Amino acid sequence: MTSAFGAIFRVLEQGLVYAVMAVGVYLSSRVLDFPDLTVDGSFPMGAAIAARLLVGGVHPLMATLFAPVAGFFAGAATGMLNTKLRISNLLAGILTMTALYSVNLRVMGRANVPLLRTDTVLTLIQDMGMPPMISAFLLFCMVTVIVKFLVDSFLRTEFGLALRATGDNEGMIRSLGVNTNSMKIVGIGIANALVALSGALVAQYQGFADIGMGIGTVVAGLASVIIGEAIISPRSVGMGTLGAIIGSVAYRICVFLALRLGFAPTDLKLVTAFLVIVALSGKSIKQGIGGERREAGRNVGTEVSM
Amino acid sequence: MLELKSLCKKFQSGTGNGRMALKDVSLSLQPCDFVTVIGSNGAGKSTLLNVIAGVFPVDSGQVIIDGQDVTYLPEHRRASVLGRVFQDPMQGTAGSMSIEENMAMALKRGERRGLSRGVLARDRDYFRQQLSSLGLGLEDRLLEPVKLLSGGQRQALALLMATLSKPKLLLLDEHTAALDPRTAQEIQELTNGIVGQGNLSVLMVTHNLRLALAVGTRTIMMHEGEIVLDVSDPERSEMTVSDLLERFHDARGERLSDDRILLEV
Repeated sequence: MTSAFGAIFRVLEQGLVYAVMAVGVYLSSRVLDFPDLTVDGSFPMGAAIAARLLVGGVHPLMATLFAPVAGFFAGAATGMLNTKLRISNLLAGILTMTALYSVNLRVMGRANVPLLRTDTVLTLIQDMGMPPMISAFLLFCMVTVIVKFLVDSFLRTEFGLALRATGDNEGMIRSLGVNTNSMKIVGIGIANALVALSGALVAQYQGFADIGMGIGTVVAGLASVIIGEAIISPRSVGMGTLGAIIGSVAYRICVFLALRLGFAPTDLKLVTAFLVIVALSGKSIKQGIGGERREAGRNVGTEVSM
Repeated sequence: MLELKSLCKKFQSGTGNGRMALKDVSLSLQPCDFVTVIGSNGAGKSTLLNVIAGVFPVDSGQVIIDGQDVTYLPEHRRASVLGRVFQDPMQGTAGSMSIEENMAMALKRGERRGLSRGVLARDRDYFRQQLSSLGLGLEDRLLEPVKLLSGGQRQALALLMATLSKPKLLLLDEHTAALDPRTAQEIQELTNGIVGQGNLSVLMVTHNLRLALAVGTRTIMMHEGEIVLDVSDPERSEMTVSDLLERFHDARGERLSDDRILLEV
Protein backbone atom coordinates (compact mmCIF):
# COMPACT_ATOMS: atom_id res chain seq x y z
CA MET A 1 0.00 0.00 0.00
CA THR A 2 2.68 2.45 1.01
CA SER A 3 4.79 1.46 -1.98
CA ALA A 4 1.90 2.05 -4.34
CA PHE A 5 1.27 5.38 -2.64
CA GLY A 6 4.97 6.21 -2.95
CA ALA A 7 4.95 5.26 -6.63
CA ILE A 8 2.02 7.58 -7.32
CA PHE A 9 3.86 10.34 -5.53
CA ARG A 10 6.98 9.79 -7.61
CA VAL A 11 4.92 9.94 -10.81
CA LEU A 12 3.24 13.17 -9.70
CA GLU A 13 6.62 14.68 -8.80
CA GLN A 14 7.98 13.84 -12.22
CA GLY A 15 4.89 15.19 -13.90
CA LEU A 16 5.21 18.48 -12.08
CA VAL A 17 8.95 18.95 -12.48
CA TYR A 18 8.68 18.29 -16.21
CA ALA A 19 5.55 20.46 -16.39
CA VAL A 20 7.77 23.55 -16.26
CA MET A 21 9.45 22.27 -19.42
CA ALA A 22 6.05 21.48 -20.97
CA VAL A 23 4.89 25.05 -20.36
CA GLY A 24 8.04 26.20 -22.18
CA VAL A 25 7.22 23.93 -25.12
CA TYR A 26 3.63 25.23 -25.04
CA LEU A 27 4.99 28.77 -25.36
CA SER A 28 7.12 28.02 -28.41
CA SER A 29 4.95 25.45 -30.19
CA ARG A 30 1.48 26.83 -29.48
CA VAL A 31 1.75 30.52 -28.61
CA LEU A 32 4.53 31.36 -31.07
CA ASP A 33 3.81 28.54 -33.55
CA PHE A 34 7.55 27.86 -33.64
CA PRO A 35 8.70 24.21 -33.64
CA ASP A 36 11.69 24.70 -31.37
CA LEU A 37 14.24 21.87 -31.13
CA THR A 38 16.62 23.95 -28.97
CA VAL A 39 14.79 22.30 -26.07
CA ASP A 40 16.80 19.07 -26.40
CA GLY A 41 19.92 21.14 -25.72
CA SER A 42 18.66 23.73 -23.28
CA PHE A 43 17.16 21.15 -20.93
CA PRO A 44 20.49 19.40 -20.24
CA MET A 45 22.16 22.83 -20.27
CA GLY A 46 20.02 23.87 -17.31
CA ALA A 47 20.99 20.63 -15.60
CA ALA A 48 24.68 21.05 -16.46
CA ILE A 49 24.88 24.62 -15.22
CA ALA A 50 23.05 23.90 -11.98
CA ALA A 51 25.17 20.78 -11.36
CA ARG A 52 28.42 22.54 -12.03
CA LEU A 53 27.52 25.47 -9.78
CA LEU A 54 26.25 23.17 -7.00
CA VAL A 55 29.45 21.10 -7.07
CA GLY A 56 31.35 24.39 -6.96
CA GLY A 57 29.58 25.25 -3.70
CA VAL A 58 27.16 27.86 -4.99
CA HIS A 59 23.92 28.26 -3.04
CA PRO A 60 21.29 25.87 -4.49
CA LEU A 61 18.81 28.67 -5.08
CA MET A 62 21.37 30.71 -7.01
CA ALA A 63 22.51 27.65 -8.96
CA THR A 64 18.92 26.83 -9.91
CA LEU A 65 18.04 30.36 -10.91
CA PHE A 66 21.13 30.77 -13.06
CA ALA A 67 19.97 27.95 -15.35
CA PRO A 68 16.98 29.83 -16.84
CA VAL A 69 19.17 32.85 -17.53
CA ALA A 70 21.45 30.69 -19.65
CA GLY A 71 18.42 28.97 -21.16
CA PHE A 72 17.05 32.34 -22.26
CA PHE A 73 20.22 33.09 -24.21
CA ALA A 74 20.18 29.64 -25.84
CA GLY A 75 16.62 30.22 -27.01
CA ALA A 76 17.40 33.77 -28.09
CA ALA A 77 20.28 32.37 -30.16
CA THR A 78 17.86 30.11 -32.02
CA GLY A 79 15.51 33.04 -32.49
CA MET A 80 18.30 35.14 -33.96
CA LEU A 81 19.45 32.38 -36.30
CA ASN A 82 15.88 32.18 -37.57
CA THR A 83 15.01 35.88 -37.80
CA LYS A 84 18.31 37.64 -38.48
CA LEU A 85 20.09 35.00 -40.56
CA ARG A 86 16.87 33.59 -42.01
CA ILE A 87 17.66 29.97 -41.22
CA SER A 88 14.52 27.85 -41.09
CA ASN A 89 13.06 27.46 -37.60
CA LEU A 90 13.67 23.72 -37.42
CA LEU A 91 17.27 23.96 -38.59
CA ALA A 92 17.98 26.93 -36.30
CA GLY A 93 16.88 24.83 -33.33
CA ILE A 94 18.93 21.85 -34.46
CA LEU A 95 22.03 24.05 -34.84
CA THR A 96 21.72 25.51 -31.36
CA MET A 97 20.96 22.10 -29.91
CA THR A 98 24.06 20.62 -31.55
CA ALA A 99 26.26 23.48 -30.40
CA LEU A 100 24.88 23.17 -26.88
CA TYR A 101 26.02 19.54 -26.69
CA SER A 102 29.64 20.74 -26.72
CA VAL A 103 28.82 23.67 -24.45
CA ASN A 104 27.20 21.34 -21.94
CA LEU A 105 30.22 19.02 -21.94
CA ARG A 106 32.46 22.03 -21.33
CA VAL A 107 30.26 23.21 -18.50
CA MET A 108 30.19 19.83 -16.81
CA GLY A 109 33.78 18.91 -17.64
CA ARG A 110 32.67 15.31 -18.17
CA ALA A 111 29.60 13.41 -19.32
CA ASN A 112 28.03 12.91 -15.89
CA VAL A 113 28.09 14.98 -12.69
CA PRO A 114 26.67 13.27 -9.60
CA LEU A 115 24.95 15.49 -7.05
CA LEU A 116 24.45 12.99 -4.27
CA ARG A 117 26.76 14.63 -1.76
CA THR A 118 26.03 18.26 -2.56
CA ASP A 119 23.31 20.50 -1.24
CA THR A 120 20.37 20.91 -3.61
CA VAL A 121 17.10 22.82 -3.47
CA LEU A 122 15.58 19.61 -2.18
CA THR A 123 17.98 19.20 0.74
CA LEU A 124 17.51 22.92 1.32
CA ILE A 125 13.80 22.63 2.02
CA GLN A 126 14.29 19.37 3.90
CA ASP A 127 16.67 21.26 6.19
CA MET A 128 13.87 23.73 6.72
CA GLY A 129 11.89 20.90 8.28
CA MET A 130 9.90 19.56 5.35
CA PRO A 131 9.41 15.77 5.54
CA PRO A 132 11.55 14.13 2.82
CA MET A 133 8.59 12.08 1.62
CA ILE A 134 6.63 15.07 0.33
CA SER A 135 9.34 17.72 -0.02
CA ALA A 136 9.92 17.18 -3.74
CA PHE A 137 6.20 17.08 -4.43
CA LEU A 138 5.52 20.31 -2.57
CA LEU A 139 8.51 22.10 -4.05
CA PHE A 140 7.62 21.16 -7.62
CA CYS A 141 3.98 22.00 -7.00
CA MET A 142 4.99 25.44 -5.79
CA VAL A 143 7.39 26.04 -8.67
CA THR A 144 4.83 24.92 -11.25
CA VAL A 145 2.11 27.13 -9.79
CA ILE A 146 4.44 30.14 -9.70
CA VAL A 147 5.59 29.50 -13.27
CA LYS A 148 2.01 29.13 -14.49
CA PHE A 149 0.96 32.33 -12.73
CA LEU A 150 3.91 34.29 -14.12
CA VAL A 151 3.49 32.98 -17.68
CA ASP A 152 -0.28 33.61 -17.65
CA SER A 153 0.18 37.16 -16.37
CA PHE A 154 2.95 37.79 -18.87
CA LEU A 155 0.81 36.65 -21.78
CA ARG A 156 -1.87 39.17 -20.76
CA THR A 157 0.48 42.15 -20.75
CA GLU A 158 0.81 44.50 -23.72
CA PHE A 159 4.02 42.69 -24.61
CA GLY A 160 2.37 39.30 -24.12
CA LEU A 161 -0.52 40.20 -26.43
CA ALA A 162 1.96 41.20 -29.14
CA LEU A 163 3.83 37.94 -28.60
CA ARG A 164 0.65 35.90 -29.03
CA ALA A 165 -0.34 37.88 -32.09
CA THR A 166 3.10 37.17 -33.58
CA GLY A 167 2.28 33.47 -33.43
CA ASP A 168 -1.29 33.99 -34.63
CA ASN A 169 -1.02 36.60 -37.39
CA GLU A 170 2.45 37.97 -37.93
CA GLY A 171 1.57 40.35 -40.76
CA MET A 172 -1.23 41.95 -38.77
CA ILE A 173 0.78 42.68 -35.65
CA ARG A 174 3.69 43.98 -37.75
CA SER A 175 1.29 46.40 -39.40
CA LEU A 176 0.45 47.58 -35.86
CA GLY A 177 4.08 48.50 -35.31
CA VAL A 178 5.52 45.44 -33.59
CA ASN A 179 8.95 44.15 -34.49
CA THR A 180 8.00 40.50 -34.81
CA ASN A 181 11.63 39.40 -35.03
CA SER A 182 12.28 40.71 -31.52
CA MET A 183 9.09 39.05 -30.35
CA LYS A 184 10.27 35.67 -31.63
CA ILE A 185 13.75 36.08 -30.12
CA VAL A 186 12.38 37.02 -26.70
CA GLY A 187 9.57 34.44 -26.86
CA ILE A 188 11.84 31.51 -27.75
CA GLY A 189 14.24 32.82 -25.10
CA ILE A 190 11.56 32.71 -22.39
CA ALA A 191 10.43 29.26 -23.53
CA ASN A 192 13.95 27.89 -23.18
CA ALA A 193 14.46 29.66 -19.86
CA LEU A 194 11.59 27.55 -18.53
CA VAL A 195 13.04 24.42 -20.13
CA ALA A 196 16.44 25.06 -18.55
CA LEU A 197 14.83 25.70 -15.15
CA SER A 198 13.08 22.36 -15.48
CA GLY A 199 16.41 20.74 -16.39
CA ALA A 200 18.10 22.23 -13.33
CA LEU A 201 15.34 20.90 -11.06
CA VAL A 202 15.35 17.46 -12.69
CA ALA A 203 19.12 17.13 -12.18
CA GLN A 204 18.75 17.89 -8.48
CA TYR A 205 15.75 15.59 -8.23
CA GLN A 206 17.42 12.58 -9.85
CA GLY A 207 20.78 13.31 -8.22
CA PHE A 208 22.92 13.85 -11.32
CA ALA A 209 23.30 15.78 -14.54
CA ASP A 210 24.03 13.76 -17.64
CA ILE A 211 24.99 14.84 -21.14
CA GLY A 212 22.38 12.52 -22.64
CA MET A 213 19.44 13.56 -20.48
CA GLY A 214 18.07 16.01 -23.08
CA ILE A 215 17.40 13.46 -25.79
CA GLY A 216 13.69 13.33 -26.52
CA THR A 217 12.81 16.30 -24.31
CA VAL A 218 11.03 18.18 -27.08
CA VAL A 219 8.97 15.13 -28.00
CA ALA A 220 8.04 14.56 -24.35
CA GLY A 221 7.11 18.24 -24.10
CA LEU A 222 4.99 18.07 -27.23
CA ALA A 223 3.38 14.87 -25.97
CA SER A 224 2.44 16.69 -22.77
CA VAL A 225 1.01 19.66 -24.63
CA ILE A 226 -1.00 17.46 -27.00
CA ILE A 227 -2.29 15.17 -24.25
CA GLY A 228 -3.24 18.24 -22.22
CA GLU A 229 -5.15 19.67 -25.19
CA ALA A 230 -6.96 16.37 -25.64
CA ILE A 231 -7.96 16.37 -21.96
CA ILE A 232 -9.17 19.96 -21.47
CA SER A 233 -9.38 21.45 -25.01
CA PRO A 234 -8.15 24.89 -23.86
CA ARG A 235 -9.76 28.09 -25.12
CA SER A 236 -7.78 30.64 -23.15
CA VAL A 237 -4.16 31.25 -22.28
CA GLY A 238 -4.68 30.15 -18.68
CA MET A 239 -6.28 26.93 -19.87
CA GLY A 240 -3.40 26.42 -22.29
CA THR A 241 -0.72 26.44 -19.61
CA LEU A 242 -2.94 24.37 -17.34
CA GLY A 243 -3.31 21.89 -20.20
CA ALA A 244 0.47 21.62 -20.54
CA ILE A 245 0.79 20.92 -16.80
CA ILE A 246 -2.03 18.36 -16.72
CA GLY A 247 -0.63 16.84 -19.91
CA SER A 248 2.79 16.53 -18.35
CA VAL A 249 1.40 14.62 -15.37
CA ALA A 250 -0.74 12.46 -17.67
CA TYR A 251 2.28 11.75 -19.84
CA ARG A 252 4.32 10.60 -16.83
CA ILE A 253 1.44 8.35 -15.83
CA CYS A 254 1.51 6.85 -19.34
CA VAL A 255 5.25 6.29 -19.01
CA PHE A 256 4.74 4.72 -15.61
CA LEU A 257 2.09 2.39 -17.00
CA ALA A 258 4.30 1.50 -19.95
CA LEU A 259 7.02 0.46 -17.54
CA ARG A 260 4.51 -1.56 -15.53
CA LEU A 261 3.40 -3.27 -18.75
CA GLY A 262 6.94 -4.58 -19.05
CA PHE A 263 8.61 -2.13 -21.41
CA ALA A 264 12.29 -1.59 -20.61
CA PRO A 265 13.35 1.97 -19.72
CA THR A 266 15.31 1.99 -22.97
CA ASP A 267 12.06 1.46 -24.90
CA LEU A 268 10.54 4.64 -23.51
CA LYS A 269 11.56 6.92 -26.39
CA LEU A 270 9.83 4.55 -28.78
CA VAL A 271 6.75 4.51 -26.56
CA THR A 272 6.78 8.31 -26.39
CA ALA A 273 7.13 8.74 -30.13
CA PHE A 274 4.28 6.28 -30.62
CA LEU A 275 2.16 8.17 -28.10
CA VAL A 276 2.69 11.45 -29.93
CA ILE A 277 1.86 9.83 -33.28
CA VAL A 278 -1.36 8.40 -31.85
CA ALA A 279 -2.30 11.71 -30.25
CA LEU A 280 -1.58 13.64 -33.46
CA SER A 281 -3.26 11.20 -35.81
CA GLY A 282 -6.28 10.84 -33.52
CA LYS A 283 -7.60 14.17 -34.70
CA SER A 284 -7.20 13.46 -38.41
CA ILE A 285 -8.60 9.96 -38.07
CA LYS A 286 -11.61 11.38 -36.25
CA GLN A 287 -12.06 14.04 -38.93
CA GLY A 288 -11.69 11.41 -41.65
CA ILE A 289 -14.35 9.20 -40.15
CA GLY A 290 -16.58 12.19 -39.44
CA GLY A 291 -16.25 13.35 -43.05
CA GLU A 292 -17.24 9.95 -44.38
CA ARG A 293 -20.15 9.81 -42.03
CA ARG A 294 -21.32 13.26 -43.12
CA GLU A 295 -21.07 12.21 -46.72
CA ALA A 296 -23.00 9.03 -46.03
CA GLY A 297 -25.66 11.09 -44.27
CA ARG A 298 -25.98 13.35 -47.27
CA ASN A 299 -26.44 10.36 -49.55
CA VAL A 300 -29.17 9.07 -47.29
CA GLY A 301 -30.78 12.47 -47.34
CA THR A 302 -30.90 12.66 -51.13
CA GLU A 303 -32.37 9.19 -51.34
CA VAL A 304 -35.11 10.16 -48.94
CA SER A 305 -35.95 13.33 -50.80
CA MET A 306 -36.21 11.36 -54.03
CA MET B 1 0.43 64.25 -45.99
CA LEU B 2 1.77 61.60 -48.33
CA GLU B 3 4.41 62.40 -50.90
CA LEU B 4 5.70 59.78 -53.33
CA LYS B 5 8.64 60.82 -55.50
CA SER B 6 9.62 58.82 -58.61
CA LEU B 7 9.10 55.39 -57.05
CA CYS B 8 10.50 52.46 -58.99
CA LYS B 9 10.13 48.83 -58.03
CA LYS B 10 11.18 45.84 -60.07
CA PHE B 11 10.31 42.25 -59.26
CA GLN B 12 12.72 39.56 -60.40
CA SER B 13 11.05 36.94 -62.52
CA GLY B 14 12.39 33.46 -63.08
CA THR B 15 13.63 34.36 -66.54
CA GLY B 16 15.94 37.03 -65.21
CA ASN B 17 14.26 39.91 -66.99
CA GLY B 18 12.20 41.08 -64.09
CA ARG B 19 9.02 43.08 -64.30
CA MET B 20 8.64 46.75 -63.47
CA ALA B 21 5.83 46.84 -60.93
CA LEU B 22 6.19 50.57 -60.37
CA LYS B 23 7.61 52.90 -63.02
CA ASP B 24 8.53 56.35 -61.79
CA VAL B 25 5.38 56.80 -59.71
CA SER B 26 4.89 60.21 -58.11
CA LEU B 27 1.83 61.15 -56.10
CA SER B 28 0.98 63.81 -53.57
CA LEU B 29 -1.89 63.55 -51.08
CA GLN B 30 -3.27 66.44 -49.05
CA PRO B 31 -4.79 65.91 -45.61
CA CYS B 32 -8.36 64.61 -45.95
CA ASP B 33 -7.79 63.46 -49.53
CA PHE B 34 -9.77 60.28 -50.19
CA VAL B 35 -8.19 58.71 -53.25
CA THR B 36 -9.62 55.67 -54.98
CA VAL B 37 -7.12 53.62 -56.97
CA ILE B 38 -8.25 51.58 -59.95
CA GLY B 39 -6.48 49.56 -62.62
CA SER B 40 -6.39 46.07 -64.09
CA ASN B 41 -4.65 43.10 -62.51
CA GLY B 42 -0.90 43.59 -62.32
CA ALA B 43 -1.20 47.35 -62.74
CA GLY B 44 0.79 47.92 -59.55
CA LYS B 45 -2.01 48.99 -57.18
CA SER B 46 -1.17 46.55 -54.42
CA THR B 47 2.54 47.08 -54.94
CA LEU B 48 1.98 50.78 -54.43
CA LEU B 49 0.23 50.17 -51.11
CA ASN B 50 2.87 47.67 -50.00
CA VAL B 51 5.65 50.10 -50.82
CA ILE B 52 3.94 52.87 -48.84
CA ALA B 53 3.44 50.51 -45.89
CA GLY B 54 7.05 49.35 -46.12
CA VAL B 55 6.33 45.68 -46.72
CA PHE B 56 9.17 45.68 -49.21
CA PRO B 57 11.76 48.33 -50.14
CA VAL B 58 11.74 50.37 -53.33
CA ASP B 59 14.57 50.34 -55.87
CA SER B 60 14.61 54.11 -56.13
CA GLY B 61 12.49 57.09 -55.17
CA GLN B 62 11.22 58.48 -51.92
CA VAL B 63 8.24 57.87 -49.61
CA ILE B 64 7.43 60.82 -47.34
CA ILE B 65 4.59 60.49 -44.83
CA ASP B 66 3.57 63.53 -42.82
CA GLY B 67 6.82 65.30 -43.61
CA GLN B 68 9.01 62.37 -42.56
CA ASP B 69 11.11 60.47 -45.07
CA VAL B 70 10.25 56.82 -44.34
CA THR B 71 11.79 55.31 -47.49
CA TYR B 72 14.26 53.24 -45.49
CA LEU B 73 12.16 52.56 -42.41
CA PRO B 74 10.96 48.96 -41.92
CA GLU B 75 7.22 48.25 -41.88
CA HIS B 76 6.83 48.19 -38.10
CA ARG B 77 8.42 51.65 -37.70
CA ARG B 78 5.91 53.25 -40.08
CA ALA B 79 2.90 51.78 -38.34
CA SER B 80 2.25 54.71 -36.00
CA VAL B 81 1.09 56.93 -38.87
CA LEU B 82 -0.68 54.46 -41.12
CA GLY B 83 -3.53 52.05 -40.73
CA ARG B 84 -4.24 49.26 -43.13
CA VAL B 85 -7.07 46.91 -44.06
CA PHE B 86 -6.39 43.92 -46.28
CA GLN B 87 -8.59 42.10 -48.76
CA ASP B 88 -8.71 38.93 -46.68
CA PRO B 89 -10.69 39.50 -43.45
CA MET B 90 -8.46 36.91 -41.76
CA GLN B 91 -5.40 39.08 -42.35
CA GLY B 92 -6.43 42.06 -40.25
CA THR B 93 -7.21 40.34 -36.96
CA ALA B 94 -5.71 37.64 -34.72
CA GLY B 95 -8.30 34.85 -34.73
CA SER B 96 -7.28 33.04 -31.56
CA MET B 97 -7.40 36.24 -29.51
CA SER B 98 -10.49 37.95 -28.14
CA ILE B 99 -12.15 41.03 -29.61
CA GLU B 100 -10.95 43.20 -26.73
CA GLU B 101 -7.40 41.87 -27.00
CA ASN B 102 -7.35 42.64 -30.72
CA MET B 103 -8.58 46.15 -30.06
CA ALA B 104 -6.11 46.69 -27.23
CA MET B 105 -3.29 45.80 -29.61
CA ALA B 106 -4.64 48.22 -32.20
CA LEU B 107 -4.92 50.98 -29.60
CA LYS B 108 -1.18 50.66 -28.96
CA ARG B 109 -0.34 51.04 -32.65
CA GLY B 110 3.26 52.12 -33.08
CA GLU B 111 3.84 52.48 -29.33
CA ARG B 112 6.23 50.58 -27.09
CA ARG B 113 4.60 47.57 -25.53
CA GLY B 114 5.56 47.05 -21.91
CA LEU B 115 4.58 44.78 -19.08
CA SER B 116 1.49 46.63 -17.97
CA ARG B 117 -1.88 44.92 -18.40
CA GLY B 118 -2.82 44.45 -22.02
CA VAL B 119 -6.52 45.22 -21.70
CA LEU B 120 -7.36 47.97 -19.21
CA ALA B 121 -10.81 48.37 -17.64
CA ARG B 122 -11.05 51.98 -18.81
CA ASP B 123 -10.28 50.92 -22.40
CA ARG B 124 -13.16 48.46 -22.34
CA ASP B 125 -15.75 51.24 -22.24
CA TYR B 126 -14.08 52.91 -25.18
CA PHE B 127 -14.00 49.60 -27.09
CA ARG B 128 -17.68 49.01 -26.38
CA GLN B 129 -18.59 52.48 -27.55
CA GLN B 130 -16.52 52.09 -30.73
CA LEU B 131 -17.92 48.62 -31.44
CA SER B 132 -21.51 49.76 -30.97
CA SER B 133 -20.92 52.31 -33.74
CA LEU B 134 -20.54 49.34 -36.11
CA GLY B 135 -24.10 48.28 -35.28
CA LEU B 136 -23.20 44.59 -35.34
CA GLY B 137 -23.73 43.78 -31.69
CA LEU B 138 -20.02 43.10 -31.18
CA GLU B 139 -19.97 45.34 -28.10
CA ASP B 140 -21.51 42.49 -26.09
CA ARG B 141 -18.95 39.95 -27.28
CA LEU B 142 -15.68 41.52 -26.08
CA LEU B 143 -14.30 38.27 -24.67
CA GLU B 144 -15.08 36.06 -27.66
CA PRO B 145 -12.23 34.92 -29.87
CA VAL B 146 -12.30 36.73 -33.22
CA LYS B 147 -12.29 33.46 -35.17
CA LEU B 148 -15.93 32.96 -34.17
CA LEU B 149 -16.97 36.08 -36.12
CA SER B 150 -18.21 36.04 -39.71
CA GLY B 151 -16.03 37.42 -42.52
CA GLY B 152 -17.96 40.68 -42.62
CA GLN B 153 -17.80 41.12 -38.85
CA ARG B 154 -14.08 40.42 -38.89
CA GLN B 155 -13.55 42.95 -41.65
CA ALA B 156 -15.60 45.57 -39.79
CA LEU B 157 -13.44 44.93 -36.72
CA ALA B 158 -10.28 45.16 -38.83
CA LEU B 159 -11.47 48.49 -40.21
CA LEU B 160 -12.18 49.78 -36.73
CA MET B 161 -8.78 48.57 -35.53
CA ALA B 162 -7.02 50.25 -38.43
CA THR B 163 -8.45 53.63 -37.44
CA LEU B 164 -8.71 53.22 -33.65
CA SER B 165 -5.51 55.08 -32.83
CA LYS B 166 -6.15 57.89 -35.36
CA PRO B 167 -3.53 57.25 -38.02
CA LYS B 168 -2.68 59.95 -40.56
CA LEU B 169 -3.06 57.66 -43.54
CA LEU B 170 -5.42 54.76 -44.18
CA LEU B 171 -4.59 52.13 -46.80
CA LEU B 172 -7.49 49.99 -48.01
CA ASP B 173 -6.47 47.15 -50.30
CA GLU B 174 -9.70 45.95 -51.95
CA HIS B 175 -11.05 45.53 -48.45
CA THR B 176 -14.57 44.66 -49.60
CA ALA B 177 -13.65 42.38 -52.51
CA ALA B 178 -13.78 39.12 -50.55
CA LEU B 179 -17.22 39.81 -49.09
CA ASP B 180 -20.68 39.12 -50.45
CA PRO B 181 -22.25 42.18 -52.18
CA ARG B 182 -24.52 43.11 -49.29
CA THR B 183 -21.75 42.86 -46.66
CA ALA B 184 -19.38 44.64 -49.01
CA GLN B 185 -21.79 47.54 -49.21
CA GLU B 186 -22.16 47.64 -45.44
CA ILE B 187 -18.40 47.67 -44.94
CA GLN B 188 -18.09 50.41 -47.55
CA GLU B 189 -20.69 52.51 -45.74
CA LEU B 190 -18.83 51.97 -42.47
CA THR B 191 -15.64 53.02 -44.22
CA ASN B 192 -17.21 56.22 -45.49
CA GLY B 193 -18.52 56.96 -42.00
CA ILE B 194 -15.19 56.36 -40.27
CA VAL B 195 -13.27 58.36 -42.87
CA GLY B 196 -15.79 61.18 -42.55
CA GLN B 197 -15.18 61.57 -38.82
CA GLY B 198 -11.41 61.49 -38.77
CA ASN B 199 -8.91 63.88 -40.16
CA LEU B 200 -7.09 61.34 -42.29
CA SER B 201 -6.04 60.69 -45.87
CA VAL B 202 -7.15 57.51 -47.58
CA LEU B 203 -5.86 55.40 -50.44
CA MET B 204 -8.47 52.84 -51.43
CA VAL B 205 -7.78 50.22 -54.07
CA THR B 206 -10.88 48.85 -55.77
CA HIS B 207 -11.85 46.89 -58.83
CA ASN B 208 -15.25 48.47 -58.92
CA LEU B 209 -15.13 51.52 -61.25
CA ARG B 210 -18.57 52.76 -60.26
CA LEU B 211 -17.58 52.65 -56.59
CA ALA B 212 -14.28 54.35 -57.38
CA LEU B 213 -16.18 57.34 -58.73
CA ALA B 214 -18.93 57.26 -56.13
CA VAL B 215 -16.75 57.54 -53.02
CA GLY B 216 -13.80 59.72 -52.19
CA THR B 217 -12.57 62.98 -53.59
CA ARG B 218 -10.09 61.86 -56.21
CA THR B 219 -9.46 58.85 -58.46
CA ILE B 220 -6.23 57.60 -59.96
CA MET B 221 -5.90 54.82 -62.51
CA MET B 222 -2.80 52.70 -62.74
CA HIS B 223 -1.63 50.72 -65.73
CA GLU B 224 1.55 48.69 -66.08
CA GLY B 225 3.17 50.32 -63.09
CA GLU B 226 2.31 53.90 -63.96
CA ILE B 227 -0.35 56.37 -62.93
CA VAL B 228 -2.11 57.05 -66.23
CA LEU B 229 -5.06 59.04 -64.97
CA ASP B 230 -5.57 61.38 -62.02
CA VAL B 231 -8.87 63.23 -61.66
CA SER B 232 -10.18 65.16 -58.69
CA ASP B 233 -13.48 66.72 -57.76
CA PRO B 234 -15.25 68.75 -59.01
CA GLU B 235 -14.27 67.40 -62.45
CA ARG B 236 -14.49 63.85 -61.17
CA SER B 237 -18.00 64.19 -59.74
CA GLU B 238 -19.33 64.78 -63.26
CA MET B 239 -17.66 61.67 -64.67
CA THR B 240 -19.29 58.38 -65.55
CA VAL B 241 -17.61 55.02 -65.85
CA SER B 242 -17.55 55.28 -69.65
CA ASP B 243 -15.93 58.73 -69.36
CA LEU B 244 -13.28 57.08 -67.21
CA LEU B 245 -12.59 54.40 -69.82
CA GLU B 246 -12.58 57.02 -72.56
CA ARG B 247 -10.02 59.06 -70.67
CA PHE B 248 -7.90 55.96 -70.25
CA HIS B 249 -8.11 55.37 -73.98
CA ASP B 250 -7.02 58.94 -74.70
CA ALA B 251 -4.15 58.69 -72.26
CA ARG B 252 -2.80 55.38 -73.47
CA GLY B 253 -3.94 55.12 -77.03
CA GLU B 254 -5.22 51.63 -76.34
CA ARG B 255 -8.44 50.03 -75.20
CA LEU B 256 -8.72 48.54 -71.75
CA SER B 257 -9.14 44.91 -72.47
CA ASP B 258 -9.04 43.45 -69.00
CA ASP B 259 -12.19 41.43 -68.50
CA ARG B 260 -12.29 41.90 -64.82
CA ILE B 261 -12.21 45.66 -64.85
CA LEU B 262 -14.97 45.82 -67.47
CA LEU B 263 -17.00 43.08 -65.90
CA GLU B 264 -17.68 45.05 -62.75
CA VAL B 265 -18.57 48.28 -64.56
